[in-house]
Amino acid sequence: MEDTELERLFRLYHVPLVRYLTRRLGDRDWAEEVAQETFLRALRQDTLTSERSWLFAVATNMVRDEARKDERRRKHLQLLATEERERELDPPEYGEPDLDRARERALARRAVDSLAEKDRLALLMKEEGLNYTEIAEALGLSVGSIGTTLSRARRRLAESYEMIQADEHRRIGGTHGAS
Amino acid sequence: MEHLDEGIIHTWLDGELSEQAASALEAHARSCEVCSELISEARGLTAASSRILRSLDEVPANVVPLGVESLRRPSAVAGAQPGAPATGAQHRARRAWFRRPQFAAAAALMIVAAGTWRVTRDQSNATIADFAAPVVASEAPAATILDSSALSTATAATDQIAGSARNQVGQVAGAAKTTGPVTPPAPSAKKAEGGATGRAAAEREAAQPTPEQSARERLAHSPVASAADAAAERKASADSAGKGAAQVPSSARAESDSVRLARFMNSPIRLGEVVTTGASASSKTTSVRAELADSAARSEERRVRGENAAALGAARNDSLARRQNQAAAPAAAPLRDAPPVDAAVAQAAGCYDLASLKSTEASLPSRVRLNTSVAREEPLLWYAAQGYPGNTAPIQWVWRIVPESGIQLARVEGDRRVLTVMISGAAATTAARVPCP
Repeated sequence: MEDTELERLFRLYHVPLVRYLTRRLGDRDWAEEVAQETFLRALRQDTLTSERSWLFAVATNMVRDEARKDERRRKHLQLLATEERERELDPPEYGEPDLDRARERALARRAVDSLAEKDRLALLMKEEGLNYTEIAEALGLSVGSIGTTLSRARRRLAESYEMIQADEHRRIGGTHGAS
Repeated sequence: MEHLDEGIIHTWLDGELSEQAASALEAHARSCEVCSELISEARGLTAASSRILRSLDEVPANVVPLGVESLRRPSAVAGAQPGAPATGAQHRARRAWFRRPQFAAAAALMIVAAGTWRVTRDQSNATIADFAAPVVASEAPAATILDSSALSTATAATDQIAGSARNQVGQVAGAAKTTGPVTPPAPSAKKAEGGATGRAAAEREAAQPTPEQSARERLAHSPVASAADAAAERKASADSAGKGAAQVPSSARAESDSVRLARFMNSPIRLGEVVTTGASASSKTTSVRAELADSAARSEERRVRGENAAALGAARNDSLARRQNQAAAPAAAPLRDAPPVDAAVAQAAGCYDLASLKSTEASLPSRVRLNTSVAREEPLLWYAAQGYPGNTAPIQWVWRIVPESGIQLARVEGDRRVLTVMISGAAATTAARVPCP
């Protein structure tokens, strides 16, 4: 692949791919590394047909392969999750405290994690602008099933979020005022 | 006709239904109340799920991608054989710590902090009051007491600060050139795209060097700025390609600071760019942008200082009076060397019942006393606070006033603020003021 072609791919897909992976992994550093690896693999391709679905599929598979690979990786993920939680409680040096936003992000993460893998990936890809054909190609599904998959994913995500949020409110209400 | 399938509705809302099927669906929806409600519900679910997913984002828009050349590095290629994806550890090992963007951001901010501090120290008139005056002029009714000479004095002083800071930042950035690249080199492909590159523009500026241009030129040659130029060029190139227009001329760099500020707020992040909010009535800030948030926060610091003073009528008036009497009286000691206990701080100090706050933090005291003694000065003034009854040592509490937000309370362990809570203001349930014991 020519430099100019890779440059074009970067311009078009780097940002959505990193965002997709960050939403998927909850780890910006890892997302960028996977994205870089994805473009590295694209570089080795002579031509790409359905380039967007190819990039998202390769990135998704890479994440899946690595996640399956070993227990060490999972422990690393747990560590990252812990760090993420700590970071949410540790406001940026000059920033405004935004506990509500951090709490909302944590709720969203739990809601997204509660989805089935296929539903989650389809939804994340749709949010990045992939059309049904591209999603179907990336996930190995039939195009006709994507609408049903997305409708189920959206409903479950919204319901799960509301449920977790309600639990959280009950919990806060129950412990409020302690100390 | 039976009611519409939910999957079909979502397919239609996503614009994936064929024209014929879409027409049939729309016709049915117009006559079927149930399906119309289903469609409304589907719209709501789509919007809700998008909102939920967006809340996961920590990725700022238009992140500067790593250069294409970095992908061609032998080490990078060797580490990723087909079918054997590199692990995160391999990736991290590949990327040295000083090449990480976080380090670049931290280094840039340190440069700004050092430069700004030095310049501010050199300017005996550059006190909090200098920042306060323009803020008051634009935001507070008390602005009427400011005369034009006071404003122009403040503006001139802040202009001078910004200019000097730019130069110093440029010098430091130039010196940093020898420490090696912070980010990978820019793609070679961009050179073939024609037009003026950022570096070429900087070189042309260097042909007629002014202090500001010299600083920019040095910055442009710094490793950090190389990535900045690459990003700028990518955007310029993308923009011109999209519009069929010529490359962005180098004269774009000469546009006014306020225009630049407005432009970069919606432009890609450019590591190492010198940013000046020159036309702002509220502040004059010079910084090297590492990330958008960092730069904005840096500006905010100045603004906060100004607004703090602006909000504190008595303190500001004192400062103004001091400045107006400077000609007749010996120069007053700079406020920054003796942080004043502002009227607003004094007014906010006292005891608060935090029971009304919704917090999951068990260590939050039920009541807190906000003292006026300065607990720490960086990045802004933090005053001491303590929970009572009984101090919760070794946990240290500090507080400060955040303009437009209210009183912020933080728990500190060592050098880290492990918890911050707004205890008053629009963004929080206001804690009840109670008499101190």
